[in-house]
Amino acid sequence: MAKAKEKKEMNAHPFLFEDSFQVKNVDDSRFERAGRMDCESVSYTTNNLEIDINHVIYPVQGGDQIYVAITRNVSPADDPRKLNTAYDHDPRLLGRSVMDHFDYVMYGKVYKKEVKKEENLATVWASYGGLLMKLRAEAAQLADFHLNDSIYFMMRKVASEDMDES
Amino acid sequence: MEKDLCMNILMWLPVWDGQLPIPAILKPKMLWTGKQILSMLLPKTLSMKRDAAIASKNKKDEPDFAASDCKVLIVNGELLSGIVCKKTIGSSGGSLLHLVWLDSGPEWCRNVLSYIQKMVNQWLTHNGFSCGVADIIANDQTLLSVEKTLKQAKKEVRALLADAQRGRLETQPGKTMYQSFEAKANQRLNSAREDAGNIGASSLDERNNIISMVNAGSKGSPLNIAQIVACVGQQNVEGARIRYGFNERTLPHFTKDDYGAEARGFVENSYLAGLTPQEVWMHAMGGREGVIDTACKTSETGYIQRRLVKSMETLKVAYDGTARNACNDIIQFIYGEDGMDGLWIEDQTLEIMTYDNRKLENTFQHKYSEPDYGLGWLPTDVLDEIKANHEHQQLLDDEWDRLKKIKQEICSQVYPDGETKQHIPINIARLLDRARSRITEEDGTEAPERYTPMEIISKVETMLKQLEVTRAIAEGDTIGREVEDNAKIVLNAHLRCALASRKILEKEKLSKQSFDWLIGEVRQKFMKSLVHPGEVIGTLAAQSVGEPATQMTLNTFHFAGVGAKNVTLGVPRLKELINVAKKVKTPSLAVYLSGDLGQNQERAKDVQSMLEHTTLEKVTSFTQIFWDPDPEHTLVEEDQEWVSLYYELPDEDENPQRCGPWLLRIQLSNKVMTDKKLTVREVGERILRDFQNDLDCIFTDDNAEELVLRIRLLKEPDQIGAAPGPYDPRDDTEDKNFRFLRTIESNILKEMTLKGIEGIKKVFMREDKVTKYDEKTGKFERSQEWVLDTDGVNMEEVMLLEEVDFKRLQSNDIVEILNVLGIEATRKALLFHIRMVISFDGSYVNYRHLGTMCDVMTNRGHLMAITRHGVNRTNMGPLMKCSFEETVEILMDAAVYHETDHMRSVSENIIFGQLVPIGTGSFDVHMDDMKTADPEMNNQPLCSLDHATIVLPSKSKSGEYYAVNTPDPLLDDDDPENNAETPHEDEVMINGMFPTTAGTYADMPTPEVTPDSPGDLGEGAFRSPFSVAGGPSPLSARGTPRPTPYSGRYTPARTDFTMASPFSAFAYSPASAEYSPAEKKEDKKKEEYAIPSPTYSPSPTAIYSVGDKTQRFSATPHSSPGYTPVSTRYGAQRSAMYTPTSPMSAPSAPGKDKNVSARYTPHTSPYGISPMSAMYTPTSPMPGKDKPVTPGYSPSVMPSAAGASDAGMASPVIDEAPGDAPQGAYASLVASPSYTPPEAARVPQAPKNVVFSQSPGVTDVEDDAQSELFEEDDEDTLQYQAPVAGEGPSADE
Repeated sequence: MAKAKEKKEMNAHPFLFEDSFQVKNVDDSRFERAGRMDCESVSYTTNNLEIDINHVIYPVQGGDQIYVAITRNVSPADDPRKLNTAYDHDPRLLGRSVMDHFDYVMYGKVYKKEVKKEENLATVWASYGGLLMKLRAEAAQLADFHLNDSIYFMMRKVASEDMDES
Repeated sequence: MEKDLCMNILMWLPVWDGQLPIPAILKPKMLWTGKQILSMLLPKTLSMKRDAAIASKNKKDEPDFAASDCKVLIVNGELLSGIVCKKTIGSSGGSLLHLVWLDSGPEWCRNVLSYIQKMVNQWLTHNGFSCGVADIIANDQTLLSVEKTLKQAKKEVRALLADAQRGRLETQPGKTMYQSFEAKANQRLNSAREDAGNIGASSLDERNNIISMVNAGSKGSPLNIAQIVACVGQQNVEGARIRYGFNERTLPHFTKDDYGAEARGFVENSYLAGLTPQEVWMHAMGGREGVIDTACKTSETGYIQRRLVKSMETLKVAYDGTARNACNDIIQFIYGEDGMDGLWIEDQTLEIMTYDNRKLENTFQHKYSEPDYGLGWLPTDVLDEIKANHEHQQLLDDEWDRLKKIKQEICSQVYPDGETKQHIPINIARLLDRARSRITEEDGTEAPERYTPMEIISKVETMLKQLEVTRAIAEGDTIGREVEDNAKIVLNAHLRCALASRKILEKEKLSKQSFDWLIGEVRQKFMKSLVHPGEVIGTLAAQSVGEPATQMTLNTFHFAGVGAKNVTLGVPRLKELINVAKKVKTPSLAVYLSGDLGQNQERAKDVQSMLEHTTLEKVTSFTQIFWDPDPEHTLVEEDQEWVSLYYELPDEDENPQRCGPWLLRIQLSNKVMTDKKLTVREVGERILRDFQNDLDCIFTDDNAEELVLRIRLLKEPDQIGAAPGPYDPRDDTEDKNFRFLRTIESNILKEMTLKGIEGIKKVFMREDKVTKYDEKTGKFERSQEWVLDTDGVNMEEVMLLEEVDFKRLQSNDIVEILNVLGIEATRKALLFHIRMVISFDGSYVNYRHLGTMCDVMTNRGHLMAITRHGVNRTNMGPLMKCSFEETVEILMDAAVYHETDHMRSVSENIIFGQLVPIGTGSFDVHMDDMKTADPEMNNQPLCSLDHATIVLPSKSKSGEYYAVNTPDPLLDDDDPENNAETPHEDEVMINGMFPTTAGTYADMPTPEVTPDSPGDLGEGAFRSPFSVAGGPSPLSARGTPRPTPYSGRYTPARTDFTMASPFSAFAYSPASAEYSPAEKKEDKKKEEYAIPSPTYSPSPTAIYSVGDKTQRFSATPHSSPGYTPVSTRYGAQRSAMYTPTSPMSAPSAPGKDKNVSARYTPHTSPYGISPMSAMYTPTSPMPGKDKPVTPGYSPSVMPSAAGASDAGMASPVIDEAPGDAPQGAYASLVASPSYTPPEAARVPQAPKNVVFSQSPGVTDVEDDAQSELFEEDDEDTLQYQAPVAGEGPSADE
């Protein structure tokens, strides 16, 4: 957690959302390369994340713990700009980026948002080129999400033995 | 997908800017998804949401987050989720392609189509797709389960068969035991195939390649999978299981009389498992029928389509918004009744119908007096203003009232069936979506500025006012206004509901900018949706109807529920309707019951028995005739008991003595009697009533075991009591009586109607859904109602029954409806039935197409069949007709009768290699004739120029149509002199020769004709299509007779004229001359004539034609068809005269008789004969010899001709030849009806002299042209003659 905060500071663009999740299970029965991952927040009981990922290039198993962050822009802190194409995201052109701290990054769009005031809960749906995400959290946590926002979904595994960054 | 593949695919996209989109997965390595690539093809404006084909199998999926990816979601040109299959791209309304077409135009659409294909091809070079045997093998368990299913089905069929053979099977109404069995067996076996197929298909997983193909919609259907994997199923030939082709069996492999599943063509194996030899045989039978069927129907539907096209190809939208054919007949006042182009019409929900009254109120009404009004959607200042300002309140209330009224109108009148899905241009829901997405600006902030409700209302009102279908409605044109308003009823409801101020603000929350954008967009879409003038709506309609016909399976029959009423459908039925078949294959009435009778099944049954035609024969078991001399003690044992009882209590009028010795005994069937709700008493009394004093009839009561009628002849009173004498071989009285009784027997059996209505053979009951609009709640209420379907029709009688709701009675025999209810009802019924045929197999054809077709078939007041009998009997040009059917006949007729083709429609111009006058080709150069006028020539414009272009004779408005392409053969050579010389008819008339006539002219609608200005007249003549030659026509014998394209159109309906004529004798004659000829002659008249007489008699203007041998003067043959001499107006008076058939003429009778008869032989008569010439006859005693006699001259001539030439009358102008007068006279005779061929002989002598100025229509006549006589009414002729006669002689030298 502390580390996360560190990173946040060095990032020009604040995360719209961040949390750690425990993967409950990954359903890869339906498609060859995509699986639907169902995760529960480690810290907030209300937070829940369902997301399709490419489990071939980034295998995730049930029981894994992951750290997730969502942001609007991944351009370097010292050179903020709007990134429009794939080339802009080439590490060689992009320079240092928040993405460097994550293993798996997707880019997509919010297509639905629902706020339940009485329960103080909100849900955001996003599509990363057809890989869908449904993120439920406290309304305040998702306040910065708007319809048709372009977002980056970033995640990395934590807590598994072999995984140790820094 | 990897970067390399991504690049490769995008290379196919010519619009690509070379930039890869941001990949969906950036780390661990950059990967794109197919959805991203596809999105690059989509226009940014596109948004849609719908289900993929597999959605039905994944109903448990969370909407908007489907695990199976079955929800297609496209937002702003970005495919966010969903499998894009055929359902999304494909041919259905509202599909991706449709939206691209509508919103982004044809180029985008083409790009999407082409590049999707190219990109997919590229994809397939990297990821192959194939399928093989592995894809169709099901596991053992599945096969076992399939087998079990089939076994069960076969067992059930066997049980059914056993039941049927023992007579235990419950028969369905209207069917025999065998038919019921067959139907049930077929049904069971089909469901077995289905079950087996489902089991088989479900054993294959989603990644199976064949399943993929089916799911994607590329190729194959669930049926194919079922047949491959599980079971091929029942084979049918002629709609039944395979019939016995051998003796009592289908194939020698089976035992005789085997009705089981296998023996009748049930193929239980799958294609994979392989068929047994018998199965292969059966399957081949079924397959062969299918092939033959396809072959037959392609030719049949092809012909249907050709006929449809040919019958409607001339229709186009005129510049005034009406739909017209080549004759400029109006087919529809506004195309499609809304003036819209079918291209821009979409399926939409008519929102206003979905609201009930309360919801309507909560959504639309501004309840400004309520405390919570406007909270959250109206700024406080606006709110205060509304609450304070009465005018604003009034404005809001007005809007609400309008909405209420619209809802009422739409729901109760326009769509009383409660169907909310309608086809309307301008997809307001999609526009609203887009407008909403414009609320948020680029930077994500919302634009807060909004209009007040009052502003919205006024903006909407202004916009709606600007939306005009017919763009030029004159001030005070109430009819035009009404047409306009009617055209927009639905559209108005649609837009008003979507753009209501409260909804826009409260629900849509549109900002100022987005609302303005919306209004602008609506206006633009409206303009875009209007149909273009020149559109070939006929061909469009024909193809729109023809295409679905191609898809129809040939001999479809339809089983409506249990009632088992069999109705012809599909192609045969369509043929029936289009051909206007007099004998419908399955005539039927749909009888709705009046009041609440329909709610009650029992009472509906009563009506059923009232309708069903029942003769005595139907309720009779058998009949016998006995020699049974003693009525009271019968010899028939069964009857002894009740007969004696019967006579124990004698009635007053009972008189056994009178009874004859022969007994007709009729036994009735108990069962049928109860079925039909008949009693023996009713039957017996009916017989007694019908044969009051000739027959005696006694009968059992209804509870008797055997229902018997005993009928005897009654003896004449004088024979009563006469004991039967001794046997006398010579006395055959009894023999006669016996035979008489037999006749009576067959008579009453067959002809006596006990109950019901003739023609109604059988009546079936059916429960039907009815929808009623409840004004109080604003909802549609659906209920059930019993409806009777009949076999056989008799609308007229059924309608009279009190129990029948005559307003809803519907016959499927169009011709009957025409006879009973008239043409409007026929149109409606025709529309209904055509639509039924087409919608039966799931197709939809827009109303405008069906409506156009029905209008074409009915607009003449009778039904026009879409066959050569209908199409080729219209007044289209001969070229068009001959390009359809009967080519030679039509061309021959056209040649013989000198018909004209005005080259106004498609076929003719194609034949000539000219630009077709449709669409942008509808234009031509108009020439101002006056500019070419030559003062030397009496200010007559140069004819040749005239004819080179379309001429709109300024003087005669009627010219419009005719003007086109009139050939002017003769003109140039003919001496101008003649023309010059020729005094104008008009003048003549004016001169007072025929004062009355002059007056009449004046009265006539077309003042232009005015006699006053001879010059003008002349010109007019020139221009007038009729006298091609121009001026000369009236005047000069030579020049005049040009081929005048009289368009057949105008009928000589100048009632006025004729009327007038009688008055003034003098006048008359001239008048008359004009008259008959007049039709041809004068431009002026044309107008009058213009009234298209539908009746046109074939031989056009035989009338005047003056056929010189010289040929110069021909009547205007072309002229047309249109012109029937018998114009309605003419009415009684004239009509007789013109009758085309001129028997007289044919013979070319020299006889004066003819003259007397006042008939004109048009063609034959070498000299123009004027109908009026009645005069002639009397006048000219010697028609044969003396030309001078020429009655034609009749007084009228005199004046005009400057005395010299008698000819004056007919042709106002006579050429030089006074000397020739006689001859000239003849010529002039146009007027004189009497001319007969004999004269013709003479003609040669004075060919030149003859002038028929009058007959504008005069054209070259073939010598041998058929002459047609026009007969005048005797009265008329007489009248006319008298005066004329007097003058005639005088006129002559």
